[in-house]
Amino acid sequence: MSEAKSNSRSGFEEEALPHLDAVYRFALRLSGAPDQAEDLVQETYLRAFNAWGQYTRGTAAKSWLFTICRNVFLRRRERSSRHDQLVAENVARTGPGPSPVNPVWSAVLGVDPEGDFFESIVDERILEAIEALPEEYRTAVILSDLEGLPYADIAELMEVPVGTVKSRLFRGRRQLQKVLYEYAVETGYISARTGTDES
Amino acid sequence: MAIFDRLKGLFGGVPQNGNADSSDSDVDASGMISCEDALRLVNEYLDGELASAPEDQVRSHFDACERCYPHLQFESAFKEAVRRAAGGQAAPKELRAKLVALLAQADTEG
Ligand SMILES: [Zn+2]
Repeated sequence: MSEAKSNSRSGFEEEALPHLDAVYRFALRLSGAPDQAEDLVQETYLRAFNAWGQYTRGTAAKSWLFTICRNVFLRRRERSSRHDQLVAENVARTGPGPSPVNPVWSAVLGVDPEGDFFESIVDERILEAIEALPEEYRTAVILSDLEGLPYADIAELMEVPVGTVKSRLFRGRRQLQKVLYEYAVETGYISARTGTDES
Repeated sequence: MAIFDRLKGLFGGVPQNGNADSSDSDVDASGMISCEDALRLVNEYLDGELASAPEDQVRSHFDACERCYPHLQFESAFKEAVRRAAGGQAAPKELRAKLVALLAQADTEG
Protein backbone atom coordinates (compact mmCIF):
# COMPACT_ATOMS: atom_id res chain seq x y z
CA MET A 1 0.00 0.00 0.00
CA SER A 2 1.46 3.31 -1.03
CA GLU A 3 1.84 6.22 1.34
CA ALA A 4 -0.30 8.48 -0.86
CA LYS A 5 -3.19 6.07 -0.77
CA SER A 6 -3.37 5.74 2.97
CA ASN A 7 -3.08 9.49 3.25
CA SER A 8 -6.06 9.70 0.97
CA ARG A 9 -7.91 7.22 3.17
CA SER A 10 -7.28 9.24 6.31
CA GLY A 11 -8.26 12.38 4.40
CA PHE A 12 -11.45 10.72 3.30
CA GLU A 13 -12.27 9.49 6.78
CA GLU A 14 -11.65 12.92 8.21
CA GLU A 15 -13.98 14.50 5.68
CA ALA A 16 -16.70 11.85 5.42
CA LEU A 17 -17.02 10.09 8.76
CA PRO A 18 -18.27 13.15 10.70
CA HIS A 19 -21.40 12.96 8.52
CA LEU A 20 -22.07 9.33 9.36
CA ASP A 21 -25.03 10.05 11.64
CA ALA A 22 -26.68 12.32 9.07
CA VAL A 23 -26.10 9.86 6.22
CA TYR A 24 -27.43 7.01 8.34
CA ARG A 25 -30.55 9.00 9.25
CA PHE A 26 -31.08 9.82 5.60
CA ALA A 27 -30.61 6.18 4.59
CA LEU A 28 -32.97 5.09 7.32
CA ARG A 29 -35.70 7.47 6.15
CA LEU A 30 -35.19 6.41 2.56
CA SER A 31 -35.21 2.68 3.14
CA GLY A 32 -37.39 2.52 6.23
CA ALA A 33 -35.43 -0.34 7.82
CA PRO A 34 -32.28 -0.25 9.98
CA ASP A 35 -30.57 -3.21 8.30
CA GLN A 36 -31.17 -1.78 4.85
CA ALA A 37 -30.00 1.59 6.04
CA GLU A 38 -26.72 0.12 7.29
CA ASP A 39 -26.25 -1.60 3.99
CA LEU A 40 -26.97 1.58 2.13
CA VAL A 41 -24.50 3.52 4.26
CA GLN A 42 -21.77 0.97 3.66
CA GLU A 43 -22.20 1.09 -0.07
CA THR A 44 -22.39 4.88 0.02
CA TYR A 45 -19.10 5.19 1.87
CA LEU A 46 -17.36 2.63 -0.32
CA ARG A 47 -18.50 4.39 -3.48
CA ALA A 48 -17.58 7.75 -2.05
CA PHE A 49 -14.13 6.45 -1.15
CA ASN A 50 -13.62 5.07 -4.64
CA ALA A 51 -14.67 8.41 -6.11
CA TRP A 52 -12.60 10.37 -3.61
CA GLY A 53 -10.21 11.44 -6.33
CA GLN A 54 -12.99 13.33 -8.11
CA TYR A 55 -14.21 15.05 -4.98
CA THR A 56 -13.27 18.71 -4.78
CA ARG A 57 -12.12 19.63 -1.30
CA GLY A 58 -14.04 22.41 0.31
CA THR A 59 -17.37 21.54 -1.33
CA ALA A 60 -20.10 20.21 0.91
CA ALA A 61 -19.13 16.64 1.72
CA LYS A 62 -22.48 16.04 3.37
CA SER A 63 -24.45 16.88 0.23
CA TRP A 64 -22.07 14.78 -1.80
CA LEU A 65 -22.64 11.77 0.46
CA PHE A 66 -26.41 12.31 0.38
CA THR A 67 -26.29 12.36 -3.42
CA ILE A 68 -24.43 9.06 -3.57
CA CYS A 69 -26.70 7.54 -0.94
CA ARG A 70 -29.83 8.51 -2.82
CA ASN A 71 -28.45 7.22 -6.11
CA VAL A 72 -27.60 3.89 -4.54
CA PHE A 73 -31.05 3.71 -3.02
CA LEU A 74 -32.84 4.58 -6.26
CA ARG A 75 -30.79 2.09 -8.26
CA ARG A 76 -31.57 -0.67 -5.81
CA ARG A 77 -35.22 0.17 -5.80
CA GLU A 78 -35.28 0.13 -9.56
CA ARG A 79 -33.72 -3.29 -9.52
CA SER A 80 -36.38 -4.63 -7.20
CA SER A 81 -38.89 -2.76 -9.42
CA ARG A 82 -41.40 -1.62 -6.92
CA HIS A 83 -44.18 -0.67 -9.25
CA ASP A 84 -46.61 0.20 -6.51
CA GLN A 85 -44.40 3.04 -5.38
CA LEU A 86 -44.03 4.40 -8.89
CA VAL A 87 -47.78 4.31 -9.33
CA ALA A 88 -48.23 6.14 -6.05
CA GLU A 89 -45.83 8.82 -7.20
CA ASN A 90 -47.69 9.35 -10.42
CA VAL A 91 -50.96 9.68 -8.60
CA ALA A 92 -49.44 12.21 -6.24
CA ARG A 93 -48.00 14.18 -9.13
CA THR A 94 -51.32 14.59 -10.87
CA GLY A 95 -53.14 15.71 -7.73
CA PRO A 96 -55.02 19.00 -7.59
CA GLY A 97 -53.04 22.20 -7.81
CA PRO A 98 -51.90 23.92 -4.64
CA SER A 99 -54.46 25.95 -2.77
CA PRO A 100 -53.12 29.13 -1.19
CA VAL A 101 -54.66 28.33 2.17
CA ASN A 102 -53.32 25.21 3.81
CA PRO A 103 -56.41 22.93 4.00
CA VAL A 104 -55.26 21.25 7.20
CA TRP A 105 -54.80 24.60 8.83
CA SER A 106 -58.30 25.58 7.69
CA ALA A 107 -59.62 22.40 9.26
CA VAL A 108 -58.06 23.15 12.64
CA LEU A 109 -58.54 26.90 12.57
CA GLY A 110 -61.42 26.84 15.02
CA VAL A 111 -59.85 24.40 17.48
CA ASP A 112 -56.08 24.39 17.20
CA PRO A 113 -54.92 27.19 14.91
CA GLU A 114 -51.29 27.01 16.04
CA GLY A 115 -51.01 23.29 15.37
CA ASP A 116 -50.38 22.13 18.93
CA PHE A 117 -51.66 18.72 17.89
CA PHE A 118 -48.40 18.04 16.02
CA GLU A 119 -46.64 17.96 19.35
CA SER A 120 -48.95 15.23 20.63
CA ILE A 121 -48.18 12.80 17.83
CA VAL A 122 -45.68 10.09 18.70
CA ASP A 123 -42.42 9.87 16.76
CA GLU A 124 -43.23 6.45 15.31
CA ARG A 125 -46.40 7.72 13.70
CA ILE A 126 -44.60 10.70 12.17
CA LEU A 127 -41.84 8.47 10.83
CA GLU A 128 -44.40 6.12 9.31
CA ALA A 129 -46.05 9.06 7.60
CA ILE A 130 -42.72 10.31 6.26
CA GLU A 131 -41.86 6.87 4.93
CA ALA A 132 -45.20 6.63 3.17
CA LEU A 133 -44.46 9.72 1.11
CA PRO A 134 -43.34 9.26 -2.51
CA GLU A 135 -39.55 9.27 -2.59
CA GLU A 136 -39.18 12.61 -4.30
CA TYR A 137 -41.29 14.37 -1.66
CA ARG A 138 -39.73 12.43 1.18
CA THR A 139 -36.19 13.27 0.16
CA ALA A 140 -36.99 16.96 -0.20
CA VAL A 141 -38.72 17.11 3.20
CA ILE A 142 -35.96 15.20 4.98
CA LEU A 143 -33.18 17.27 3.48
CA SER A 144 -34.91 20.55 4.21
CA ASP A 145 -36.76 20.04 7.48
CA LEU A 146 -34.39 17.59 9.06
CA GLU A 147 -30.97 18.39 7.66
CA GLY A 148 -31.58 22.06 7.00
CA LEU A 149 -30.04 21.96 3.51
CA PRO A 150 -30.58 25.06 1.35
CA TYR A 151 -33.00 24.68 -1.57
CA ALA A 152 -30.11 25.12 -4.00
CA ASP A 153 -28.23 22.16 -2.52
CA ILE A 154 -31.32 19.97 -2.57
CA ALA A 155 -31.89 20.96 -6.20
CA GLU A 156 -28.36 19.98 -7.14
CA LEU A 157 -28.60 16.74 -5.23
CA MET A 158 -31.92 15.74 -6.82
CA GLU A 159 -30.91 17.13 -10.21
CA VAL A 160 -33.98 19.32 -10.56
CA PRO A 161 -34.55 23.10 -10.66
CA VAL A 162 -35.05 24.98 -7.38
CA GLY A 163 -38.70 25.57 -8.33
CA THR A 164 -39.25 21.82 -8.41
CA VAL A 165 -37.71 21.47 -4.97
CA LYS A 166 -40.11 24.09 -3.67
CA SER A 167 -43.13 22.35 -5.12
CA ARG A 168 -41.99 18.95 -3.84
CA LEU A 169 -41.52 20.41 -0.38
CA PHE A 170 -44.89 22.09 -0.57
CA ARG A 171 -46.71 18.95 -1.64
CA GLY A 172 -44.76 16.66 0.64
CA ARG A 173 -45.41 18.81 3.69
CA ARG A 174 -49.10 19.15 2.94
CA GLN A 175 -49.45 15.43 2.40
CA LEU A 176 -47.69 14.78 5.70
CA GLN A 177 -49.80 17.33 7.52
CA LYS A 178 -52.97 15.75 6.18
CA VAL A 179 -51.95 12.28 7.37
CA LEU A 180 -50.94 13.61 10.79
CA TYR A 181 -54.14 15.60 11.08
CA GLU A 182 -56.23 12.52 10.27
CA TYR A 183 -54.28 10.61 12.87
CA ALA A 184 -54.88 13.33 15.46
CA VAL A 185 -58.60 13.17 14.68
CA GLU A 186 -58.61 9.38 14.86
CA THR A 187 -56.95 9.38 18.24
CA GLY A 188 -59.33 12.04 19.46
CA TYR A 189 -56.72 14.69 20.04
CA ILE A 190 -58.70 17.06 17.89
CA SER A 191 -62.29 16.69 16.82
CA ALA A 192 -62.83 16.82 13.09
CA ARG A 193 -64.07 20.09 11.68
CA THR A 194 -65.23 21.39 15.03
CA GLY A 195 -64.60 24.81 13.62
CA THR A 196 -67.53 24.55 11.22
CA ASP A 197 -69.96 23.92 14.07
CA GLU A 198 -69.40 27.30 15.53
CA SER A 199 -72.18 29.12 13.78
CA MET B 1 -69.98 29.14 8.80
CA ALA B 2 -67.73 31.25 10.96
CA ILE B 3 -64.70 29.47 9.62
CA PHE B 4 -65.57 30.36 6.07
CA ASP B 5 -65.77 34.01 6.87
CA ARG B 6 -62.46 33.82 8.63
CA LEU B 7 -60.89 32.19 5.61
CA LYS B 8 -62.31 34.75 3.29
CA GLY B 9 -60.95 37.37 5.58
CA LEU B 10 -57.49 35.94 5.08
CA PHE B 11 -57.42 37.16 1.53
CA GLY B 12 -58.64 40.26 2.37
CA GLY B 13 -57.29 43.35 1.28
CA VAL B 14 -61.01 44.01 1.19
CA PRO B 15 -62.92 43.38 4.40
CA GLN B 16 -66.23 41.63 3.85
CA ASN B 17 -68.55 43.88 5.79
CA GLY B 18 -66.91 47.18 5.27
CA ASN B 19 -65.59 47.39 8.82
CA ALA B 20 -62.08 48.32 7.83
CA ASP B 21 -61.08 49.36 11.30
CA SER B 22 -58.54 46.67 12.03
CA SER B 23 -54.86 47.42 12.13
CA ASP B 24 -54.33 44.46 9.77
CA SER B 25 -55.60 46.34 6.80
CA ASP B 26 -53.29 49.22 7.65
CA VAL B 27 -50.44 46.82 7.19
CA ASP B 28 -51.46 46.31 3.58
CA ALA B 29 -52.13 49.96 3.00
CA SER B 30 -48.71 51.04 4.20
CA GLY B 31 -46.99 49.15 1.41
CA MET B 32 -46.16 46.09 3.48
CA ILE B 33 -46.82 42.65 2.08
CA SER B 34 -50.40 41.38 2.00
CA CYS B 35 -51.82 38.50 4.02
CA GLU B 36 -51.96 36.44 0.86
CA ASP B 37 -48.25 37.03 0.22
CA ALA B 38 -47.38 36.29 3.81
CA LEU B 39 -49.21 32.96 3.71
CA ARG B 40 -47.63 32.08 0.40
CA LEU B 41 -44.17 32.84 1.74
CA VAL B 42 -44.52 31.23 5.15
CA ASN B 43 -42.42 28.18 4.34
CA GLU B 44 -39.72 30.05 2.50
CA TYR B 45 -39.56 32.37 5.47
CA LEU B 46 -39.23 29.50 7.94
CA ASP B 47 -36.65 27.80 5.72
CA GLY B 48 -34.59 30.98 5.52
CA GLU B 49 -35.07 30.97 1.75
CA LEU B 50 -37.04 34.11 1.00
CA ALA B 51 -36.33 35.16 -2.55
CA SER B 52 -39.13 37.53 -3.47
CA ALA B 53 -39.62 39.65 -0.36
CA PRO B 54 -37.31 41.12 2.29
CA GLU B 55 -37.20 39.04 5.44
CA ASP B 56 -37.91 41.92 7.80
CA GLN B 57 -41.09 42.78 5.89
CA VAL B 58 -42.36 39.24 6.16
CA ARG B 59 -41.38 39.05 9.81
CA SER B 60 -43.13 42.26 10.68
CA HIS B 61 -46.25 41.13 8.87
CA PHE B 62 -46.39 37.96 10.96
CA ASP B 63 -45.60 39.92 14.11
CA ALA B 64 -48.36 42.40 13.45
CA CYS B 65 -51.08 40.31 11.81
CA GLU B 66 -53.19 38.25 14.14
CA ARG B 67 -54.70 36.31 11.28
CA CYS B 68 -51.40 35.17 9.79
CA TYR B 69 -49.46 34.67 13.00
CA PRO B 70 -51.19 31.37 13.91
CA HIS B 71 -50.34 30.04 10.48
CA LEU B 72 -46.67 30.74 11.05
CA GLN B 73 -46.94 28.92 14.38
CA PHE B 74 -48.75 26.04 12.71
CA GLU B 75 -46.07 25.49 10.05
CA SER B 76 -43.36 25.92 12.61
CA ALA B 77 -44.97 23.36 14.95
CA PHE B 78 -45.11 20.95 12.02
CA LYS B 79 -41.44 21.42 11.15
CA GLU B 80 -40.54 21.01 14.78
CA ALA B 81 -42.48 17.73 14.97
CA VAL B 82 -40.69 16.36 11.92
CA ARG B 83 -37.34 17.35 13.34
CA ARG B 84 -38.14 15.88 16.73
CA ALA B 85 -39.36 12.58 15.28
CA ALA B 86 -36.69 12.02 12.66
CA GLY B 87 -33.70 13.84 14.08
CA GLY B 88 -31.26 12.86 16.75
CA GLN B 89 -30.96 9.31 15.55
CA ALA B 90 -27.32 8.31 15.58
CA ALA B 91 -25.73 5.58 13.50
CA PRO B 92 -25.15 2.34 15.42
CA LYS B 93 -21.71 2.24 17.01
CA GLU B 94 -20.74 -0.97 15.22
CA LEU B 95 -21.48 0.66 11.89
CA ARG B 96 -18.69 3.16 12.31
CA ALA B 97 -16.22 0.40 13.16
CA LYS B 98 -17.46 -1.70 10.27
CA LEU B 99 -17.00 1.21 7.89
CA VAL B 100 -13.47 1.90 9.03
CA ALA B 101 -12.63 -1.76 8.50
CA LEU B 102 -14.30 -1.79 5.07
CA LEU B 103 -12.39 1.28 3.98
CA ALA B 104 -9.09 -0.16 5.16
CA GLN B 105 -9.85 -3.30 3.19
CA ALA B 106 -10.82 -1.34 0.08
CA ASP B 107 -7.63 0.64 0.46
CA THR B 108 -5.35 -2.42 0.48
CA GLU B 109 -7.28 -4.13 -2.30
CA GLY B 110 -7.68 -1.22 -4.65
ZN1 LIG C 1 -51.81 38.77 7.54
